[in-house]
Amino acid sequence: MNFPILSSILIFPTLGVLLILFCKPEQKTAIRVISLISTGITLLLSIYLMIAYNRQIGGYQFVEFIPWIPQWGINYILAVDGLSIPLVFLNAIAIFTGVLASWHIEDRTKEFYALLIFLATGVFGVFMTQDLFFFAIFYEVAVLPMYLLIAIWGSGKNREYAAFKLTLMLFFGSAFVMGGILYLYKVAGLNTFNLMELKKLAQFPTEVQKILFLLFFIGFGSIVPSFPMHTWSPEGHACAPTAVSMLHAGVLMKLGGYGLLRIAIPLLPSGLQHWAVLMMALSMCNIIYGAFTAIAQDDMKFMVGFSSVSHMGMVLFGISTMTLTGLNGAAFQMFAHGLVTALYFSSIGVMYNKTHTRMISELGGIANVMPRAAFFFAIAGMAGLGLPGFAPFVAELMVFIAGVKKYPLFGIIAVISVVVTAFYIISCIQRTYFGTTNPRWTGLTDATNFEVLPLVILVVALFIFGMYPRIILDLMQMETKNIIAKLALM
Amino acid sequence: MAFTLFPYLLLSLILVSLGLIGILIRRNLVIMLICVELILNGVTLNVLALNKFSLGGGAGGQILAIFIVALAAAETTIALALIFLIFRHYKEIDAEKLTELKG
Amino acid sequence: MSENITLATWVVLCPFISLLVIGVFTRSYKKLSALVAISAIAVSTLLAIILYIKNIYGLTQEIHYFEWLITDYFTLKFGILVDSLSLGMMMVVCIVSLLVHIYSWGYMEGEAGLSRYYAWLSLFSWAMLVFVVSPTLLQAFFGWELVGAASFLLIGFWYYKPEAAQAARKAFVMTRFGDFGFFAGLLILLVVVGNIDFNVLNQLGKNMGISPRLITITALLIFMGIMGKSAQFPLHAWLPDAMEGPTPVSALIHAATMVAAGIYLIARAYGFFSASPFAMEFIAFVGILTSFIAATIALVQNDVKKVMAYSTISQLGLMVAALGAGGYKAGVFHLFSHAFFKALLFLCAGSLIHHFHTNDMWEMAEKGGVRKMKITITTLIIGALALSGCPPFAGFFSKDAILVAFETNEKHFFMYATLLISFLTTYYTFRMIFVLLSPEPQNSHSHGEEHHGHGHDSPANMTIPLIILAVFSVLFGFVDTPLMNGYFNKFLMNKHEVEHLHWSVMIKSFIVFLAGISFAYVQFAGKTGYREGFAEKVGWIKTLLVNKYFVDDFYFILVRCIIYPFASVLNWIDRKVINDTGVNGSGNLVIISGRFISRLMNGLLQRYIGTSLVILLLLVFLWQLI
Repeated sequence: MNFPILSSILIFPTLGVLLILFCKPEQKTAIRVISLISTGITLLLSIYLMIAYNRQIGGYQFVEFIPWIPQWGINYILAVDGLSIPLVFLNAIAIFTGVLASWHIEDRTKEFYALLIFLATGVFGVFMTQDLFFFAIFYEVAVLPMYLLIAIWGSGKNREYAAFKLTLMLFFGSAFVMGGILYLYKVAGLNTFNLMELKKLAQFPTEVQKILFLLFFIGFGSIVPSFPMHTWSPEGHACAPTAVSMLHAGVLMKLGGYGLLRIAIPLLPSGLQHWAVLMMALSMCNIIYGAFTAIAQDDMKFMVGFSSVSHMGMVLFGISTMTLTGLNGAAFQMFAHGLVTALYFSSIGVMYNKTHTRMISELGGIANVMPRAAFFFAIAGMAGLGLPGFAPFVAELMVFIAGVKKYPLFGIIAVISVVVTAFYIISCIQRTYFGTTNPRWTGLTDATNFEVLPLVILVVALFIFGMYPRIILDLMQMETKNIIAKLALM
Repeated sequence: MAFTLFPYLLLSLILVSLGLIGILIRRNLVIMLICVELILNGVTLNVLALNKFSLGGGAGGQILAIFIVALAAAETTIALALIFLIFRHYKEIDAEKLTELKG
Repeated sequence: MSENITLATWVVLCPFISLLVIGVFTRSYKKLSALVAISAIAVSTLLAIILYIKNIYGLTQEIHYFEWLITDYFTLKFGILVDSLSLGMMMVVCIVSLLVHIYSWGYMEGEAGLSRYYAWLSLFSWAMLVFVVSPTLLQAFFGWELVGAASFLLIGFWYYKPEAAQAARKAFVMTRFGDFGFFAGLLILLVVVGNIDFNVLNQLGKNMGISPRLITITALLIFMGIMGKSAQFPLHAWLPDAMEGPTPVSALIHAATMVAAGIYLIARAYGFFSASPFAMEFIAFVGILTSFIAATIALVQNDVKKVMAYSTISQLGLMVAALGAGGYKAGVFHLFSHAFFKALLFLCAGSLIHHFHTNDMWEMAEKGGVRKMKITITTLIIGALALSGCPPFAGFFSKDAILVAFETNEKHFFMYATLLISFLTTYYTFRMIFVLLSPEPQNSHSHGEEHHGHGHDSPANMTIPLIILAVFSVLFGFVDTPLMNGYFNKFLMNKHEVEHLHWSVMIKSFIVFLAGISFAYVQFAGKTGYREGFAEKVGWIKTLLVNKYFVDDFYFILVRCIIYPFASVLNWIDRKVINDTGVNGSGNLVIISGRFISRLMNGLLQRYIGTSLVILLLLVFLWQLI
């Protein structure tokens, strides 16, 4: 019972990274196998977490506490609750399938896997830590390797620019987050970074809450990505290698929503109330603008990138309704969208490995030579546009319900995105995969069983959680109820 | 003669300002070094005067003054050595011509 | 759970199991996949028949729920609802689906993607049954979307054909647009009423707390979805293009079942829709308008499948109009009977296409040998007679019911419009028949020729379904007549009312039928070569009809000239304004100011000293102030 399961979720990947670093660069199979095993163990641990979490009691469980710098109230605290467990699970799936999807990388394999798993470890840390100081540390760890991963192993002639822009904008955001955390620390006056205690004890005057929440919103919002701080996202997605895109869109972007739900909203409820309408307006821009801009894209990964911008807008929209269903929908959308995006990028990646282009205008009739790759992209598309039976439908349903209840007109406008999304996705499928095959591609081979494995895992997950969402939803609801209770007290 | 504090301070002020102005205006490194000496001497005078008139003439100020003199000597040695090396390398000791340390 | 519910649950589940089995296990074994799918739907049909026999005089509602999503202000449930309406629809879906499954064995023989075909057929059957048994609007939406996905996959089955791919895309996006209305209406109802169970919705008109305006708005929104799915004007344009899919698919999905889903939904939520008189008027109007437009376009079609497609749109329009005018029984009756004879017509067309390798009726006539396909041609004529409303076939009674409904609800304009449309229907249907039956040209190469090694007609697995459907087309109509003691009334609505024969209406419709068939006979029968009907002889009418009222051109302009440019503008804004100016701009700003400040570091030693001195003095000065 006292087995430090959360630390093991951090330790196993770190061990993996260390072992990888000790390998020789030529031992590529060994490197890959080590990565696979360490992430596989992490995946099993995260599944265990989901099962072992005691749903009767709820709250923070599996708490680990090690005093670190007591004079300043910094402690090594790991704990999970209903909100973090699904996200930990999501990260575990994303990194595991990402490792599988990167099997073909030959150039500097060792550094790649080391950086990739290091990044994932940072994300695990963000999701599990309850100490704000460590939160900031892990947040940085989660962002920094992105620069190297995109600049070195990415594709496209703009990749250094994309990497640079992404890293800088995310650091810009994290500067606000850190500023917010420090200001919070000072104003709370409790001399602790311990989030659990701050939640219980800290009281902030309304004026302070407004400023603080704005700081956090700019900070976390830039990683969501909220309009207008979103431009790093499509380009970053497009130029990154497959596994990095999967992790990035699948998990990294959820740090923003998670930060808001974990830190900003429980501590600063009046701040949220004050800024809710602005949040809603920006999220509408995300949803509609993102969807329409996706229509005009020729690069498939740009299209998916803008699609992500649009769907993450729904997370913000759900949060801005300040209702239980809205928060549930936002949290579930983070989970569901993570899975869908991972599937999108890995299926595009499978095709890209053979064609080395992602431009819709250059592709055509791919399904004739690569039917399996086409099939999985089609499923990703169907799930992504909100087909019932898959997880994103549930998320969108809840967000729309809350949206229509709280902001009727805007809720209905947001529903239009459903049509626009269908438009660009189906158009993409038709122009890329259907029709006669462009003569350039007639010699391609289809995806192998091994390449298909991560795709199958993701599809099965999407389907299971789409048909029976309560596995995750009940967990999340325990936490969102607490948040709503805080809001109601205002 | 029983001087008050003021003339000493005035004198040291003059010495320090002369030294400062010298540093800013003169281009020859050796002259700049001499002006640094001026400043140091002015400061020494200042310390001693204040020691006598404000602190009651104890040993502390006098020790400090001796420190300054010793340090000045050491520092001058090193500075002159540096100036020699600069001259050997750049063939110049004009401050406005030695501009590689920039960003 | 009662026996009825259990039976119904298994009816719904069997195709899903088939889908999983094919998808996971038998993908590489084509014949095996086909067998799995056929057996699954056969089991479903059998269970449905058992369920029917147990409840042969109809049954009142039985529902079993299970909870799906629980939130703070509502609980979303899924369930199985068994009542007369769902039972009847279940039977129709299962029977037609089974016959199509069997037929496809022959039609799609040799097809490389056969496993995939049967997998998607199973997916469709499952989704359609989920829709039929749904007790709530949400589950209906669930099934609705899934049948749309199945339709996409099946229309685009031959995805290497660009036309098929585009047709699939058009179908999906257009119906998705309608679904936006459906979803919006659903959300508003859920938020305001808190419950979207059909039983609750149907009582909404009596609920004093709900404003009539809300009911009207949501009814119209949901009708938008129905317009998309059931191909009402102007969201009908996807259906003719959907003929790119295999013909059995057209028969099952785009004639009998999926497009009928909208009709079924109106019937299921009839109380809800009736609560808004404005919505009902609108629905009826759209229906009759659609029916007329589609019937006229069918006059000039040369592709047998397109004729049937427009005919389907037209008949759906009639059903919609009937329901809108208050004829609940008439709409449902025509829905069921149309399913049978339209599926029959499509499968006959498929039989012809399979034989002649062309869709064009003139080419088939050219090639000759149509008359030798005895079973096909006979069942085709039966189907045509049923569609045209010739007594005593099914179509006659169901169309009659519609006419009667219009008359009893004082909608005389609608009644006469329907008569006109029936005239056109008979005309274009028999145009097709007479063209196909044209005397053979001298040089046809069908004399004494065996085709495909099984005589002149199609194989048995294709002709037997034809015969079965023909039997239904002949006999089904009688369920609403005194001959069966008003069985249909009893079954559907538990009304012990024997429908007396409305002689005046019957005579009018029979006269119309005779007129239609005579016109067609005069213009088309007995000649060879291409000939024009009365519609094509008038210049502007011909242009209008051949261009399908320019609806497709409208959509083309909408997409090319409005949507894509709008997206490009937004893209430009994103690239140039937000990115280049905002993001890159601020980056450049930082770089420029950095360069500016770095000019202070110019290497001049004395400058450094001077600067530090000034700043030091400044700081001391400030410190003194504080």
